[in-house]
Amino acid sequence: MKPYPYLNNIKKPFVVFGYLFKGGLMFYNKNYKKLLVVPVIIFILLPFIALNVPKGIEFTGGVQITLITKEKVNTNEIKDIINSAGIEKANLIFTKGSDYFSTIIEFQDTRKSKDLIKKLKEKYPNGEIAMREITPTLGDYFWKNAIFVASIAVILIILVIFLFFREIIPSIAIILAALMDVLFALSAMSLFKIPLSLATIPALLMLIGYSVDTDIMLTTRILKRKGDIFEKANEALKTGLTMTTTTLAALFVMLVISYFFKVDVLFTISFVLFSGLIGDLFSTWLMNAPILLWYSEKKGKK
Amino acid sequence: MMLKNIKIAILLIALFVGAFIIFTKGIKLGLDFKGGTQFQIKLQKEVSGKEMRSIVSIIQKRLDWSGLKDTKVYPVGKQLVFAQIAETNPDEIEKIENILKKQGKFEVVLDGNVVFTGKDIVEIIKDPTRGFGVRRLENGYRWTLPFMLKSSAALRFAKMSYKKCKPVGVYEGKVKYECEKTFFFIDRPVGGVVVLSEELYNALSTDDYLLVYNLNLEEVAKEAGVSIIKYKTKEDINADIIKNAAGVIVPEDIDENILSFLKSINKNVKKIPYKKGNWFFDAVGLKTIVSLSEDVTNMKASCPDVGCANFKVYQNLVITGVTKTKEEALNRLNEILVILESGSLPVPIESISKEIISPTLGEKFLRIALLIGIASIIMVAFVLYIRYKYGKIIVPIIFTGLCEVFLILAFASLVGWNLDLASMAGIIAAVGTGVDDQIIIMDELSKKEEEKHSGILKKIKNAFFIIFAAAATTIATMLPIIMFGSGLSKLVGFALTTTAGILIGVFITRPAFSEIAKNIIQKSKKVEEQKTNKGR
Repeated sequence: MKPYPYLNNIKKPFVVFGYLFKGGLMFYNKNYKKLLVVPVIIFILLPFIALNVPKGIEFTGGVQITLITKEKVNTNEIKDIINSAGIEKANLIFTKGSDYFSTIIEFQDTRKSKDLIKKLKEKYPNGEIAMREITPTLGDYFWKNAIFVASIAVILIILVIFLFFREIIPSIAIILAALMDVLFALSAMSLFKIPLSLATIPALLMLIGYSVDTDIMLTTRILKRKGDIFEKANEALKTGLTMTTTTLAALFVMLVISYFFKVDVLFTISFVLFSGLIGDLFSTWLMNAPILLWYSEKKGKK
Repeated sequence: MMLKNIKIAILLIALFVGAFIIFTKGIKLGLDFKGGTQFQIKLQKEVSGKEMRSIVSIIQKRLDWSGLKDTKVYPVGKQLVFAQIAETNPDEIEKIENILKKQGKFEVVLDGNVVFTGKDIVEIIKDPTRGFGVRRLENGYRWTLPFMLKSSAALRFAKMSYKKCKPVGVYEGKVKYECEKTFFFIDRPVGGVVVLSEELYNALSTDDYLLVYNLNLEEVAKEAGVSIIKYKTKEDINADIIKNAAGVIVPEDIDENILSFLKSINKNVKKIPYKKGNWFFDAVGLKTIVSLSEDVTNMKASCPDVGCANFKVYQNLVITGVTKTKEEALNRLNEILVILESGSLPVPIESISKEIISPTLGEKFLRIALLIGIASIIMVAFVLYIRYKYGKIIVPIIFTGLCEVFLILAFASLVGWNLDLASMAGIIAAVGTGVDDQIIIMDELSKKEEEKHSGILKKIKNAFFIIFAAAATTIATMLPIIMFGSGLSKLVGFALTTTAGILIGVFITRPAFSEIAKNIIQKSKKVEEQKTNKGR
């Protein structure tokens, strides 16, 4: 294989990845079972982190007011304004974009929002203000609805996968992989304090869709094609990495742009997808593939 | 040969149809891009289809009345109604919210009995020459709303108000009467209890607004069907009365301890804010008090029925009130007007939450969304180039992706969806899986011919097995949202765009792409063969 000159000065992992990407390296060989250590560790560690994911304002209720200004706002001034509007406890998040500053104020008492907006407009007449108000009862209702819908989705997914493959173990492997992806995403959200909200639930569902794409491709190639299983697995790896890398690249762009321009919804969606897809690299190629190779070998022996 | 043409033909036809739809119907942008306010109205309980239609129509009327163009009201499931308006001023929003919030039960009470309701009113007379409007007085303003009652209601009113006046003297040769008062309520909290501190009770009792009618708080409470509890300390409050009340009404600045105490006994505690005028009136929904007159009470009639001498039934009556400022008068008048004209909701509203987006912010979002789209395409093309190092295949992949976006937008336009950020995310999701699928097709087609009899058609079939399985799984994920996620409207938009995108992809764009890819790969194989042939 000719070494690619432009990769010469980059660290080893990238070189390996590059080779995998282009199909030069034989990743799967007879020692594939050792790869399973990683997913086992992940399944033990991550649930603890994932469960700490914070719940967003839609679920607990309250008001979120975002103030965008050209100049940096003084923290104490904002705090004074909040106090003078009669708000006792408020969450303050300050972020900086490319050419603006944003101040997010979250608090429980919805009646005070009108007053606060007026005072903010007085103090920062050139600023832009967006407001989101959620009353707790509505938040509660959404949460219950969300869980119900998610459960039905999981059941349907299981049915569809079983319909196409009619073999239990591969079907379970695909579902486990999707589960790991979601765990990855939730853990990332928990670590970076991104709250679970109305925007993140579709992102998690999208994630399942993307995750299943690579897993189904892998399963079909290994189970339904003829040839040496390791060769098939490595070919699948090449295809799968291309699929995931293109999506990751697009998501990275979305992540960066939405972060700079403070488009909260798009940022959350791309963050969830990005971290979930990184997890997909682990779940598909370090867990699902070894399981399928194992299953194939066992079937072959019969 | 035939097959190849059909798939590409389908794509081309779809593109033409799509362009036509977008050209004629246009793309509707949602709240995120246009800016405005969306109210999310939660009803107290689930309603039937018929009730929901009536509720939507009433809310639509109430919004239309406020003169806003471009309003949209639509039900979401059985318990939620979403109302969108292109207004962002907080004061206006609050006014509209107050109008929307009311169930709108209009009742006129005399001596503790309901004389007539909103349903009995046949017509509101908005003609200024017949008294409608606001007029300046010496110390304040008077608002007047003339209306016409149904004849049956008018008769009942005449009977119930018969001789409800007392002569109190003679003035310039005519008898002067003092008559009973009629109380006009909107959403009277019958069976409720009003809990006040002793200070507030005293303040309200000596308030001008009350004194001008020569009444005390207890009398008003009786007409409203509520009881009053005044307290100095928590111990003065009788827990049993609170427990058995239909609801508890308190001022918005009530002491937190008392509030939690009340909430622990009765779930239904309502905080009423202070506005201009007497707080107690607002607390019980009392809009105005109108004294009967000697004509209406038929003081000169011999008996209270049709056919009796001098007995007149008045169908044309007025609701009227006096306020200190012109603004108050206009507000009062408009409030009752809207309620009477739109009707009362069959089910009360439990809560309203709202989302405000100011328009300038909205425009920015759109530009950013476009920027992200273009940048993503460039990134994807870059990655594909590294992998395939074959420029000619990248253009079809990108082109197919763009076609999908175009067709999804056409579909959205056809169906009349409002595109918002969430549905844009759905488009990204669909196109993302589209690129994935195209990669799958590419890799399947470019494999060496390992098996005998495995022609190119079989390879395409193999690729599509994967694609269908993956598509079915994603749609399985989206279906529950569309069917059951009625409360999660943002999600439903997202799920619909994703599903539409996937279906468009699987049946229209990706098959066409597979033809194009097949073509390109066959050509490239021929070129390679020619090269090796030449080399020999």
